[in-house]
Amino acid sequence: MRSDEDLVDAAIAGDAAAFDELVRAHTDRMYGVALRICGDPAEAEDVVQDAWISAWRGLTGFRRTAKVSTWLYRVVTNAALAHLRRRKTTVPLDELHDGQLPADRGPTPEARTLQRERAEVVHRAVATLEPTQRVPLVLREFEGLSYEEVASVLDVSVPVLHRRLHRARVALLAKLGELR
Amino acid sequence: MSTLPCGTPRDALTEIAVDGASADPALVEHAHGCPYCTAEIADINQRWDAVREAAGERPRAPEGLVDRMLDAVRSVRGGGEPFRVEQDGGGLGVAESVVVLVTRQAVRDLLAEHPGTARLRAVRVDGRTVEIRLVLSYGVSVDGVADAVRAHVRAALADHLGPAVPPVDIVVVDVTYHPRR
Repeated sequence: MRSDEDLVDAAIAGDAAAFDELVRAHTDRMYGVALRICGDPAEAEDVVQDAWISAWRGLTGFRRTAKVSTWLYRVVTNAALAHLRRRKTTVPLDELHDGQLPADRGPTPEARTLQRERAEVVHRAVATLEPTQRVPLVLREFEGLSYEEVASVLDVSVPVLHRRLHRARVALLAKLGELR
Repeated sequence: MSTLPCGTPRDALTEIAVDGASADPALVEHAHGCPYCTAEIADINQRWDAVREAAGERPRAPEGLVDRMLDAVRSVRGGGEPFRVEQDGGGLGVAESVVVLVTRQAVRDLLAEHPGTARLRAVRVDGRTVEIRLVLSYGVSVDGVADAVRAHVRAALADHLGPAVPPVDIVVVDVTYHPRR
């Protein structure tokens, strides 16, 4: 199995199937990022489509100083932010459509329902944050990227990211308090 | 911003509670020996558990998403014969990918002005025809959307290719019961 970096090299050299492999490997994760930033499944799909087209067109400009996954996070984040700018208003994630969350799984249906409800409250709260707070929060808390990786995706310094994340976390905790 | 009896702002402890660390070592040292800070950190930690739990809920991608993404990328990748447009004095060849990109942008621009009507699923160029695949919102007139999209795309293509605009087919491939807000 080829690494992401090998796939990018092959794609740049004209191997279209290599790029297809990247699409297969990373689409689900990119969709998760787009969904958590945009808050709407249909819009998230539009964003991922835009992101992959941007990635294809920007392939030759890929800088090898970053990991491919970091570059793809940047591409999908930029696509999501462009989408939010076009939309101009914030759409609250006030409902989670069927098929958006993972299928029910143990320990019991009741416990699972409660878990889903708690997750919905968190998603609603995240959707109310300003994009400058929401995006780093999604990348750090939901995608599990390191501070350095998030800073690289957003093209900001780590201290700047720390400040944004601090404000985002404080705002999220306050919002969660209101939604309870 | 509220302050604890020890003088520490509550918000200042968020990073310690969430990350277990802070950029301020003096605060960490104080907080770990201070009963007020320790209790506040525990409280924040408990509230943050909801975020940790939600983070464990990986969103499930819709069925067929990867195939649709591959379709979109392949349409832009092109590789087929250049799109031929006859003009006075000779033919004009335009790469398939250019036609796809112009069409995509035109459709997106139009639909952005009318949110909740339809979404662009894919654009395909086959020979001398442009095919636009749409997902319609339930209750929206197919005819109305098709006419509007076709007219807008043909105008955009005319701007780029001149008056010899190719036929634009509209295909409604799905309907959604969750109109966009």
